[in-house]
Amino acid sequence: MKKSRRQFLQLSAAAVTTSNLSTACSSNQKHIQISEAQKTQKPKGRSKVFIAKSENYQEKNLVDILSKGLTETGPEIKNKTIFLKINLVSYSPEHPLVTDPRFVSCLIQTLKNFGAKEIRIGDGPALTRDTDYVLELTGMKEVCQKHQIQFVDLNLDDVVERKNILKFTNIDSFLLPKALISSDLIISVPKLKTHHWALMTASMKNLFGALPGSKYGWPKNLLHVQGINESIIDIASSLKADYAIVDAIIAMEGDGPIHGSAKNMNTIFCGKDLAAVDSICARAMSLPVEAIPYLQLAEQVFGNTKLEKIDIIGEKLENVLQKFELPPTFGTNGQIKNLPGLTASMESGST
Amino acid sequence: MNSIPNNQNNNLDNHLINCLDKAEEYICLESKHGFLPYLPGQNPTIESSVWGALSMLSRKNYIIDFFQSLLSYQNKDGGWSNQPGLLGSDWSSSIAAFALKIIAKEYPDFEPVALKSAYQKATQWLLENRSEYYSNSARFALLIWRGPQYDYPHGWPWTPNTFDWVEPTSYALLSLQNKNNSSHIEKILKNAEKYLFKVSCPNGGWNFGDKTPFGEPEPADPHSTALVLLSLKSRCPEDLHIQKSLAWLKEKQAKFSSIHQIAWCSLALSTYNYTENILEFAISKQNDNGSFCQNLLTHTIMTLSLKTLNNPSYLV
Repeated sequence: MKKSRRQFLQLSAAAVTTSNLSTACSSNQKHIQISEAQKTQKPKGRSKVFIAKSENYQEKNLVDILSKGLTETGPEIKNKTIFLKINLVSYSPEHPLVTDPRFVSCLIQTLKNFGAKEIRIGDGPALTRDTDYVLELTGMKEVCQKHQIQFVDLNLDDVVERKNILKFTNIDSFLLPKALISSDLIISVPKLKTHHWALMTASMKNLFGALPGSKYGWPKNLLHVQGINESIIDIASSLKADYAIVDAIIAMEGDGPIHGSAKNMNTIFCGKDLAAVDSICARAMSLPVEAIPYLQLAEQVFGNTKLEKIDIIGEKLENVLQKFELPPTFGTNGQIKNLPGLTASMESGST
Repeated sequence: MNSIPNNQNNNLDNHLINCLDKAEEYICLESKHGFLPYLPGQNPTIESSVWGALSMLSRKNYIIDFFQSLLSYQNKDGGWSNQPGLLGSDWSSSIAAFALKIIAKEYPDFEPVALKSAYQKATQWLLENRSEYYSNSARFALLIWRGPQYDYPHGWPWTPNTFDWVEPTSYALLSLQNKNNSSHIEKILKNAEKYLFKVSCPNGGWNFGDKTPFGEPEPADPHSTALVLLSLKSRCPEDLHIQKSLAWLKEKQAKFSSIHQIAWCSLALSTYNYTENILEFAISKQNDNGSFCQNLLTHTIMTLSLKTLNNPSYLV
C-alpha cells in the first residue's frame, strides 16, 4: 500500500526516535572503543587482594583483621593525611545501605594505630540534600564525635578542576572536592551491594559519591547519561584512590543498592588495585565478571581483573563464595533485561 | 536554650525582630561582596549567595554588593556556574535569574539597564538549555512532523544535555514566570508545570524527580516539595495535588527534627499562609553569633522562612 507523505514522515520520526532511545540504553549492551593511548594508562604488574572473614563488627576482632590487611597489602599510613570515602547514600533501618559505622569506627582506630597524621571521612550522597540528617540517623555522626574527626560533605566542599584522563565519556574534566584531592591517601570504603543498573557496586562505583552535587546535581545525572560504566572508569582514573577496603560483613543482595536485602557475607576485601578488589568481590558474590562492563573495561585500562594476575592473600576465595540474588533488572547470565518501562528509567538514572 | 514567654504580640514581634537581626548580621559577617559559601571559610557559590540575598532584601547596600558580584560572575553564554568561574553554566543559572527578577521588583530604579540585560541573557540561556529526550535527528524528524511550535512536557536539567529533574525545573519556573511573557514562553512554562505534576509522588509532595528510581516508590522529600510549591504558587495554588502536598508538608513538619527540613517546610507553608510558628524553634537553634546552623544555605532558608511568617508574599 502506497503511503502518503505524511504517513512516511510519521513512520520515519518514529523509527529515528526509537533508535535513539535504544542507543541511550545502558552500555551493558554497547561496544566501547579503547585506544592504545588509553591502554597505556594501565599500571603494569600483578595485584594483591586481601580477604578475611569476620563474623561481626566487634572492635577488637575487626581492628586485628584490618591491621593484617593493611600490613599485607596497604600503603604507608604513618604521618599521612587520609580521606575515607565511605558510602552514606541514605538511611533505612531495614536495608544495609551504607558502610557500617562500626566498620568505619574500627578502620579509623586501625589507621590511628598505624600512625596516621589526620583522618577525615566523607561522602556526597546523590539522593538527599540533607547529609547532616543521614549522618545522624546512620550513627556516623557518633563515630566522628567518638574519634574527633571531621566529616566532609563532598556535595558542598570547595572544588578543584581535574582533567578526565581516560575520557570514555565526553566529560573533559571533573570538579572534585578539595578535601579529597588534598589528602595524601584516598581510601574507598564501600558497602558491597548488588546494583539495579550496574549489577554490583563496590570500591570503584563508590567513587561516584566524590563528585559534588553542587555542580552535578541530585542525582548526578550527567554520569548516567554519559554511561554508568564509562563514568566509573573515568572517575576512578581521574581521582586515583590509593586503596580499597570493602565492608562485606553484611552485604546487600537482590534489588540493590537501595531496596535489596541483607546478606551475611562475613567478609572483608582490601587492596591497592580497586579493579582487582572489585573483581574478587564479584567472584565471591558468584557474579559473572565478564557480564560487568566496567570490570571488562578496567582490565584494559585501569587494573587487573583476571584471576591469573591477582595474588589472593589471607582467606581463600572459595571459602567466601556465596550466591547473591541478582537485581530484577538482570537475567541469570548477568545481562540486563529489556523490561517494559526500563529504558526510560535507565535513561534518567539516579545512583 | 532560649524560649518565648507567654506574652502579648508585641513581645512576639520583638523576639522575631531580634532573631532576624541577629540572623542577618551573621549573613553579613560570612559574606564577601554580597556572596556566601555553603560553609564558613569556603569559596562562594551562586545557590547560597542568591538565597542569602533574598533574605537580605531590605538591606540595600548588601543587595548592591550582591548584584555587582552576580553580574561579574555571569558567563558569556548568559548562564552561571554554581562555582563561579569553574566549568560551564549549569542549574544555578535559574536561581541567579530569579534573584535578578526579585531585585528588579524590589528596587525598580536600581541599575535597570544592566539588570534587564543580564536577565534577558539568562532567559535566553535557560530557554536554550532545557532537557531533551530526543537526539538531534529525532528532533529534526519531530520538527518536520509536528512543526516548529511543537513542545511536550519537560523541564530543566542539572547540567546541560541531561534529563529534567524537579529542583532545576522549579528554579527555572520561578525565574521565568512574568506577567508579560510571550505565548511561546508561557507554553514552555506550562509544559514544565505538566512535567512537575507528572513526576509528583502519589501521596503528596515531590522527590528529586523519579517516582521509582530503582523500581520501587521513592518517598517525597521536603526540600524538593517546598521548591515546587514555591514555583507553582502563582500558577495553580488551588490544584488538588498542591493542596495534598501542603497537607503532607504540614504533617511532616511536626515530625522533623532536622533544621534543613524544617526550614524548607516552613518557607513553603508560610508562603501559602499556613503560619506555623517556627519562631520558638528558630530561637532554640540560634547561636550567639546569630547562626542557626553551620550550613549557610540552610541558615538563609530559615531566615527567609521567618520573614514570610508575617508576609507570605515576601518571595512569591
